[in-house]
Amino acid sequence: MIELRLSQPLAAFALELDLRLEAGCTGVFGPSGSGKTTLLELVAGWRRPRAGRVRIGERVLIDRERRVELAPEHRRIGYVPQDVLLLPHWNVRENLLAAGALEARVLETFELDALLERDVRSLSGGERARVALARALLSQPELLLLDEPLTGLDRQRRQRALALLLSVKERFAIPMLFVSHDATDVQVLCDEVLVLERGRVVAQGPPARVLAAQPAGSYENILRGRISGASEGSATLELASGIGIEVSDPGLAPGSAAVFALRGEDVLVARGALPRLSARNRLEAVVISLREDSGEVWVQAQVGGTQLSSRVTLGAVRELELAPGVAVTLLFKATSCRLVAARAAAS
Amino acid sequence: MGEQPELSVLRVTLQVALAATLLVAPLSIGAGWLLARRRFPLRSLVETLVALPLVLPPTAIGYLLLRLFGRGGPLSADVLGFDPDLLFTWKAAVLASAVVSFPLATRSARAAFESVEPRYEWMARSLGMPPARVFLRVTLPLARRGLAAALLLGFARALGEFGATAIVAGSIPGRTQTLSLAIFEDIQLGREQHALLLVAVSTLLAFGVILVSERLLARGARA
Repeated sequence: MIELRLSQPLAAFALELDLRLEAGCTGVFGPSGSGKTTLLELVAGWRRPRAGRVRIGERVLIDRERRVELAPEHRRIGYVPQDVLLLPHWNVRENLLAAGALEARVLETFELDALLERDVRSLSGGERARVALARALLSQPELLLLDEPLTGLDRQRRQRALALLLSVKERFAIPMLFVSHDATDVQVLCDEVLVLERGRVVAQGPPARVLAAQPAGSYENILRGRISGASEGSATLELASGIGIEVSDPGLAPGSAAVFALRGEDVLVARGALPRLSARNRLEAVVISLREDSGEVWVQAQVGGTQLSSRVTLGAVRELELAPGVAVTLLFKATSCRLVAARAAAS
Repeated sequence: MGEQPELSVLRVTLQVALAATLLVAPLSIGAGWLLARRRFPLRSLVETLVALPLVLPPTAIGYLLLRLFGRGGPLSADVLGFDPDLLFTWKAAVLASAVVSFPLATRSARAAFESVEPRYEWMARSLGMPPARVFLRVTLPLARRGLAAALLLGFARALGEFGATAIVAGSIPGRTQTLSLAIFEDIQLGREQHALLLVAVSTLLAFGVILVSERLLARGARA
């Protein structure tokens, strides 16, 4: 359990937090200038809070009332700031050694063996992010702070980096604070999300629930699975629940792990017999819940072991007589599914 | 035969300037770091004190040193209990040069430290390094070009020191007579040709030092 109680005046507003976070990945979501980076710097000890208490499990990092304030070198925080801050006078190996002994498991996860002797100034954006993450992990942290690690990467690098973060989460099981203003990344990676606005938490909870209440476009259906075969420009994504989703061929080998995002407004809800359609995905589903949000309705439906959401108008709900328990067909195009994370299968 | 005195002038000059630079190096690096990175009470007073020798007439500095170490002064042999054997030796020339070049070296060292992004130091701390190691392994290496330029600048200033040195060390050929003192003597005695020769040597020396220091700074800015 992580306790974060922090109070810090900033230029235009004050950061005021009182949070308890379970282990796993917590997304910190919000517009720029809402205090996200300040939060990380306070936890890392790069800034001193005016008041507050920070605790990871039984270890107290800050308790201003009891005058406890661990120096940054004793906090065991792995911080990857947005500018990653690889030390420019050292090569990759020296940067990693500054954090601790080189672990085979980390070098392998981040595919760093070929980079070790490189000058850090010659690395690409994706390589820099990999080195910085590996360095943070080698310092034996009890908490990882990631400040928009995917910003500035092109689409392909982003897909790989997000998959890498997913595997870090699985393999290393270190709690993470993941700062992002990309709702899709937060949904793919995080177990919980908090929304920060002008220094205050305005929402906290599971990403699906919290982000669905955010402005349109924040929430998406996240489809995780493995690629199981491709033909005629499309491929099948096999979900854990056994359902096959047809997607545009991402060019990944069969067996590759992949995560796709599908916007709620791209999912059609139909009742009754269907004509011939170009939409490749037609899934028999049962409506579980309806939730109205400023004139529009989120329809949540169950397809086998998977839940999908569709965003429709009030008029559509009335005309189709949608209600919990009603059987419907969900329709969406293979091309509406966007690849957001991919890890090629080991050959 | 005639070459011997010029060579000894050059030797004394380099010896004094080098020793003064070695003396100034740790002090100016320490003071430069303090001024660049620490907030402390009476900071602006310290800043002023550090800059003072830059604007005081060197003769005034020489006179103050003379009173400090001379008979009856607070650092004289009577008070210290031993004779530092300083005045009118090459050591006095070193001290005078050091005092005069200290503010220049400190100002440049401070700029060198200020040009190091403090977030690199924070990152090193988060990776587990205590502050002293961060200073040695991150701050110093990242500031090294600027610091080298600072020391070269101090060295250059020590090379040309005249006023304070003349007062505390005199102008003893082969012992305390540096280039600037020798030039002054030559002019006084009307040895125009000889003065010109020494001026040429001084110019060459200063030119080389400044050139190297500028190159260091230019490369530092690019790194």
